Amino acid sequence: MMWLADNAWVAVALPALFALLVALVGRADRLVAPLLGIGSAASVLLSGIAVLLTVAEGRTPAAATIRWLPSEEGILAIGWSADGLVGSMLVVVGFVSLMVMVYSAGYMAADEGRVRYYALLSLFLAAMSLVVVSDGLLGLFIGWELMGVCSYLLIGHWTIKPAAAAAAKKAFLVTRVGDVGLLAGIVLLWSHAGALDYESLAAVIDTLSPDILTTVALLLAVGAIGKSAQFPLHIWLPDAMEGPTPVSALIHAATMVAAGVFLIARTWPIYELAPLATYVLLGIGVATALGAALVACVQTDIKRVLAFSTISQLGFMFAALGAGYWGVAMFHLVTHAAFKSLLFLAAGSVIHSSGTQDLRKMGGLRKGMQFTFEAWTFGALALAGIFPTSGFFSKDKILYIVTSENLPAGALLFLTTAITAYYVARVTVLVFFGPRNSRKKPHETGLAMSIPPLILAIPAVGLGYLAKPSIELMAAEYVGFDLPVALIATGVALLGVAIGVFLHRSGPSADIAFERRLGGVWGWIQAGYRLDSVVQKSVSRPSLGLARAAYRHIDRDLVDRAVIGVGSTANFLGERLRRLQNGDTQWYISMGFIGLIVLYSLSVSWDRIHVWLTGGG
Amino acid sequence: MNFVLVASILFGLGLYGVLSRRDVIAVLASVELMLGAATVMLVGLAGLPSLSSQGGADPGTIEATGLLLLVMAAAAAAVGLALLVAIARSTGRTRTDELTDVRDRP
Amino acid sequence: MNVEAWWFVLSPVTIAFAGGVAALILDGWDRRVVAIVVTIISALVAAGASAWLASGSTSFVLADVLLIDPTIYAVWALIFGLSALSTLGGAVRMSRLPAGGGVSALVAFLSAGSALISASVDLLLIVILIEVLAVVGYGLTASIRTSGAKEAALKYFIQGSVATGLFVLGLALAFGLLGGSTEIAALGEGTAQAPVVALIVSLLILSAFALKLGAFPFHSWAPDVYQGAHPAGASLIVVVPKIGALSAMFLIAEVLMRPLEGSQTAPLQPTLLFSVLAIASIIFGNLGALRQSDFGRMLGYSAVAQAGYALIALAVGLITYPGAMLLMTVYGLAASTAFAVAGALRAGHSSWDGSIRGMSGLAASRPWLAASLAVSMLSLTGIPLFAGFWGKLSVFGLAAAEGFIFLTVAGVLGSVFSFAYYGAVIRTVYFDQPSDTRVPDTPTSPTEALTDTGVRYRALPGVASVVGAGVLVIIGVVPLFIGLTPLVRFFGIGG
Repeated sequence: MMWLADNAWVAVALPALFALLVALVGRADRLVAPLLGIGSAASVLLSGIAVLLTVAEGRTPAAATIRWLPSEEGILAIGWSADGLVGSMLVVVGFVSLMVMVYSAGYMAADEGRVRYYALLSLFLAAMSLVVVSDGLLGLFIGWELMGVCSYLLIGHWTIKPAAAAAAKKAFLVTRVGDVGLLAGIVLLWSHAGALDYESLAAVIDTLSPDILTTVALLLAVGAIGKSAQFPLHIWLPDAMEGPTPVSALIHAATMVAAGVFLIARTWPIYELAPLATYVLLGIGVATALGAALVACVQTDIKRVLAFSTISQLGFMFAALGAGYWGVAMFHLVTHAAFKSLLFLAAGSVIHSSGTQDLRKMGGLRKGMQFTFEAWTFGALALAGIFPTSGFFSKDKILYIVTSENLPAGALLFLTTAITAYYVARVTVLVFFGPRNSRKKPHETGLAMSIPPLILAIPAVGLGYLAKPSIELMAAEYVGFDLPVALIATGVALLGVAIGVFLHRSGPSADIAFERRLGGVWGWIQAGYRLDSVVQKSVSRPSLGLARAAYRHIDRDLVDRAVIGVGSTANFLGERLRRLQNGDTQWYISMGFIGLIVLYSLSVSWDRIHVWLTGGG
Repeated sequence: MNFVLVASILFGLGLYGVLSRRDVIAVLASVELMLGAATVMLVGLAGLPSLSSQGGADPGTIEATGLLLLVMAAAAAAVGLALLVAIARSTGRTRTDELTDVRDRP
Repeated sequence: MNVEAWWFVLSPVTIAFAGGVAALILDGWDRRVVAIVVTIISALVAAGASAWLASGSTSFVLADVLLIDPTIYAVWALIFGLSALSTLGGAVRMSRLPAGGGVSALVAFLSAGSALISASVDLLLIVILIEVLAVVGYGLTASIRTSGAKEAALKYFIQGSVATGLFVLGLALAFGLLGGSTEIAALGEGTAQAPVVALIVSLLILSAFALKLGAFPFHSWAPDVYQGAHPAGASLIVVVPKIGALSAMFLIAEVLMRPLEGSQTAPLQPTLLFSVLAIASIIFGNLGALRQSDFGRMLGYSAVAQAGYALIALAVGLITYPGAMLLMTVYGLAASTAFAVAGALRAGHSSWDGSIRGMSGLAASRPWLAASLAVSMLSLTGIPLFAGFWGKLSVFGLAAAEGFIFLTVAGVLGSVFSFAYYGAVIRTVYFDQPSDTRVPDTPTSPTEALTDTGVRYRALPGVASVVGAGVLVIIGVVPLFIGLTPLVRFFGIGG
């Protein structure tokens, strides 16, 4: 255990190894790929637990830099380090991925591309662990990009679906916009601080000018916003739901999208000295939380509701970061990972059982899917922030710190809480209660798919009581329980739930009534305020156009032609050279002699050739 | 120094035979001629009186080596002939321009 | 115990040789499988003994013709280890040949001869060993008794004999005109008096070694033999003697050819000779491999390119000796692995026609074989995290550091280019749909495997390929943590 804590790189190496193994031998047996996937998840989880235990003992786990090239020290070195923050993140990633891997064994059992799926999931875990345990921004960036690639490939898992392919491309392009910011921030930081590992950075950060720090903080935040799907770069996440549901649970709810929050928490010393950047974070967080929650209310696709809800909850985390309490943000990240992955997995079972993602065609699923319903209920209560689930505690802390930092922002977040409770109640009622709208008989979907949500219900409910120790393990500032805020939040949430249950008790008819009354506004919200096209026009299209132009002029005209030219020349020469190898031994021997004569002539005239080559010098 | 001339002529003849004769047996014979010529050169040079004065190797060693080389050349020739017999039995081909199955095909 | 006793110093070679003799006798009693097992075990014991001796400090000159020190022992360990692996890879095929035990004996003799050649400091001994290796090589090539193999062997024989003739002529001239000795060191001292003779002697000797290495323009036998010979034979012929030949070539290059370098007017410029041969081999090997459909033939041409990379090391000089040995060893390991895969495909009632296309669908039917094959191809290309990368890095890196930019560029470009055909194999195995000449699945019933004589050990080539691939990955990953130095240091600072 201690060894694991001191060698956090194992959390990267083992999943990478398992990914390779899956790719190589995953076809050998039906069980091989899932078992290897579970192995990689377990290795991440064990690493995380080991790190946390070591930190709890009061010892700092060992960190090291691999000098993998015999070059000068420090340049492009990659190493690992671990502390409470890293340990918590590893545990979250490991635990959720373990559940998702088990769940996938059922969900993807009949899928053609299972081997690729498990290989990519394992590779994703390796990349995520690299982001987490790397001791500097260089390793983080490599893992960050690798995560993006895995996410892209997994969203497009069902390549036959054109929507999936388009969604994958969109996710890739939009997050790339954020990554450009991240890369620019890293380069700027390196050029001024001369180092990229957190330890050296912390030492020199006071000597940098505030302007530089603010610029770096804002640029890093752009990367975080892209990855964590915050306004205005959030548009890729709802479309990413085209991927398999377990992927949505792991990557697009619990782990990768939370990497933005983790990035800011890990580089917090920079933000401490850049107040402007934290204001920006607060503003973006609150706006995203409220806006996305509203959109979630009117979605008809169960996965899109959850996607917008994820965006909204990530907004809460950003607001906490903006208020200056990264520990609170991380705590909400942890609880959110538990209850949101639970909701996704349960939703996956619902989809699997009812054969549709459309809320209006579900209903009455409570009977026949008892386990899934119970698990969902716990997750829904946590998302709504009802006492005593974990979501109540983590959201309460955010509401408290934001309110005391900035009252209007706090008020908006209280409003968001009510809206959240409303849409949670709406979805729950539409899916599990009311008349059955589908001819398919609801049924449980096998042990592999019904157990993981139930297990996830344990942290979703119970984590709240671990708030103090977990935040203190991360060595962050703890915020106590505040009764007035808790009372108001609970009241608001209960009101939201009540409205939701009341309006939708008779099925999807309320939506129709709303739609008729609100007309265009309804459609506007449902389409995510049509931000999609705005952002696409202003950000994605120009960069895509730029990329196309670059492709056309540089890649196709220059590189392609060069490559094709080299290739065809090589083929041509290869074809010609084949005539040398005509099967005639005597010609072969002659070739040898010709070679000897050439070498001899070259040697005896070398002094003259040398003089000629060097220009008579 | 006559042996140098003899050896050179023999080596040249062998080389010419290897490159020009199309009958594998003739090619094999020419190969042996080259080896033999080289051995003659070695043994002949070993007998030069100017060398022994330099305190070089014992001419006797070289002569023994020459014999060994002859034996090995004979052994190798046996392998070559055995290969040729095996090929001739199965395909009936004994000319180098017929033995072109293994090659790059354009 | 007197560690200077000759039998002690030569014990690895003796063990391997004795194993070969025992195999010959056992083959006479038609105990083929036992004979093969004996040669494998004796090769392993010889490798172990060499490795143990390499860790000591025994340094011994035997009868003025052999110089044996820890570096040579390290080379021996590699030679015998690869020999064991190759025999394992071809065991099934061998056990089904009429004189299979004799074939395994040939393998043992080949490795013993290669070991001795790496320690030779006298041209007389080298010429005898080259002839021994050549005769064994012809026999091994033809041992499979297909018409293609026999034809390849005959052509190999003719080319090899001509090269031997040239070598003997070179030896005679060296002896007569460079100072009356056959010791390489003594000859080196004589080069100053007769520079043109030294050039001719060097070229003549070089042609025999270039033939063994398979360097352009003495390469023509290589594609034929790689294609025609059976996998174990091919991997032995191409892998084991090359290590011995390369080691001996360094000695000749340094001691016989190098003394005059430095003066611009001297006709003998080893750097020039090796550079020309290296670049020609890289270009020709890569281009030749590009359009091949036969797996063995593709490997044959790629071996020409790999010989070119080793020649870069010779051009740079003695400081690259450890790197060149590493390069050649990991090449040999990867090639043995690839041949073991081919051996596994050939084993049993296979309808595999030897083509690359015929391997399509292998990933689905025999994933471990496909994985081993992929690892060996990646290593041959020189992709990081595989052993081949470190071999190339240690040679090209030093070449660049010593200022041989042109050679470095040629080597790197050649390696990049080589992925066109190495990668094509991986693509075929993993992504192409099986054609009608596809690889059949492993036998369905174990009894079926048992009926045919000597086919009980059908799994052996597969095992050998997985072992080889595993070692390739280990050598590829370990330097990340401990650095490259220990790996290179294993080869000492050069003979």
